Amino acid sequence: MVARVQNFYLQAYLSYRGLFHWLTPFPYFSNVVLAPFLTLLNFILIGRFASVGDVDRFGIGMVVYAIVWIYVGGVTQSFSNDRSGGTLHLLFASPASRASAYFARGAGHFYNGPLTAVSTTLLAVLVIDLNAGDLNYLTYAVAIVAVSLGILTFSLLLGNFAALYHDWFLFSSIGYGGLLGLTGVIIPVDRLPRALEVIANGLPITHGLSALRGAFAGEPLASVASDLLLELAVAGAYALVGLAVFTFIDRAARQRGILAGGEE
Amino acid sequence: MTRNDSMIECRNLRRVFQRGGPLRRGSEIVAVGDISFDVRPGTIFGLLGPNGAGKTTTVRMLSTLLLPTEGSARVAGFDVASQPREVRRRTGLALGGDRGLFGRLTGEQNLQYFAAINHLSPREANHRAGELLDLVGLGERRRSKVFEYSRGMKQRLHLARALLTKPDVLFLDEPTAGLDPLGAFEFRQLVSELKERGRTILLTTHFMLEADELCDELIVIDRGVVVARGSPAAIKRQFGSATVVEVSLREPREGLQASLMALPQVQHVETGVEGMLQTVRVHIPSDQDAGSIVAHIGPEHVDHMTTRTSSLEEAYLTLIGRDQ
Repeated sequence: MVARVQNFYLQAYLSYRGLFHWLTPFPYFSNVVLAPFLTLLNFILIGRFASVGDVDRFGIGMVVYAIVWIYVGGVTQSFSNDRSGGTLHLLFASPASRASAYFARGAGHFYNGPLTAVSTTLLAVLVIDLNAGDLNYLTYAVAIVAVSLGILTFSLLLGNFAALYHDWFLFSSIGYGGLLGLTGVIIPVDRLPRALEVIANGLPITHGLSALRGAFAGEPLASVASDLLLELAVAGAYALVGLAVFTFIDRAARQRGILAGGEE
Repeated sequence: MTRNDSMIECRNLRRVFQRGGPLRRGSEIVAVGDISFDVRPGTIFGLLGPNGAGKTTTVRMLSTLLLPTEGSARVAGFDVASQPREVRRRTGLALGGDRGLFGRLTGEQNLQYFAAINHLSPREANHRAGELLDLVGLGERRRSKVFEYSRGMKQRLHLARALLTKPDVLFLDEPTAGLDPLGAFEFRQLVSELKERGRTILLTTHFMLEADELCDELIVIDRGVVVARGSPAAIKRQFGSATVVEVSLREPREGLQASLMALPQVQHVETGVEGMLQTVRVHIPSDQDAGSIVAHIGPEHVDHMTTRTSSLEEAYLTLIGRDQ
């Protein structure tokens, strides 16, 4: 058991180091700190100049969207680099546990989510006066972790498409756009058309963001527990669906010859 | 081990690829038509053939990366289609080229990663990585990033990766492609050493020298089917011209090639220029006298003459019908 955990950790660490190309200082700082803060700043400024009442609502939404930025981009590029670098088919030619290999590809990225959320929050509070006076730190921390898990498992699912298709940017764009437009980051979910509201409830962020807004309003953990549990349930569902897709790709690769080493 | 004590046993392997997507079926491409062979334990078995012959597809089926469309194959006693995990535990796969390694990781970290996905414990992985990096001559560069490695170093790292699990069978797919002559020579020495240590090796190559030097047995594949099989010497005997008479002429002779081809014992004639001299290379059966060729040309026109047995390359060119 200990060896399995160690192996999982090694896979996660080394695949992250080997496949995530934003790890050098400038791309990393840009994607984890700078770009999320500038995006948040834009939305806050638009809100202020357009005299929108509660501009902090956009700020809190953008704290969560910072996690989308780093996870979707990072995880999908890891899968894509795995395919184009010819290492994915060696994984499929090994006796590796597919579940372990799949989740290891996301695990290495995990810490980036809370890190970018916290740095974006701090900058928003310090530079543009995001109101965090009532912040419940425990609720904030748990909500950030829950939302991170949801977005990470969603990104892993998108990563499968990056493993399967050369032109995978479409899928990551759908991921970026869908999560921005449907999960309450900008538009409150209850103002969406009914059909979209149903979809929103099945997406990551929606429930966790509601808990996070509660944290900024000073609500204790217990009062947002149901939202957090729903967020974790969504995360679990994406984890299972994503693993099923990954296993399907493994089988399809053997049957149809995709990824058999000739992919560029 | 397979039922007849072969380490690899292929029976009528066939692989067809379907063009088009999941919704639209296109035409079929037969990558491997019908291939059967056996590989004895502790030997090096060669798959020879031009690009597109079906060598790599065969290796991919044997290494469980592809399912055969028809036929069966057993590796180390296990069926590649129904027992892929067992096959994977007993085989190592090294593909030629720059791909298949993490350029941003060190050589040592690459091996640690592949050890982890092959269920080696971290302690065992570290030990094996050190041992193998020394074996392939990368011990001093173990902590260099792989993108800093030369092509030859990457090839040696591929080999080290394939050896991590102490596999019974090694698949080497064009391992010296793109290497300089010295790198290729060193790599061949390494492969010979592995054979001495009892490994069974399946080698695909289109380098005749490599096949001649390394392989105990081989098959020549063309357009997905086996066109010859046997030891390199047997294939040379069977399909080579057996004797090649190389003659350098004192002065160019017009029409010589055509007149030599008209001789009944001559199989093939090539002409060329070496420095100031015209050269003629005449392929004849081994029971024929080279003197008859000199007599036909006229001894007074001959600067010098040598005879030799035909090379595997010449046999190969004869086999695949692409004489140059």
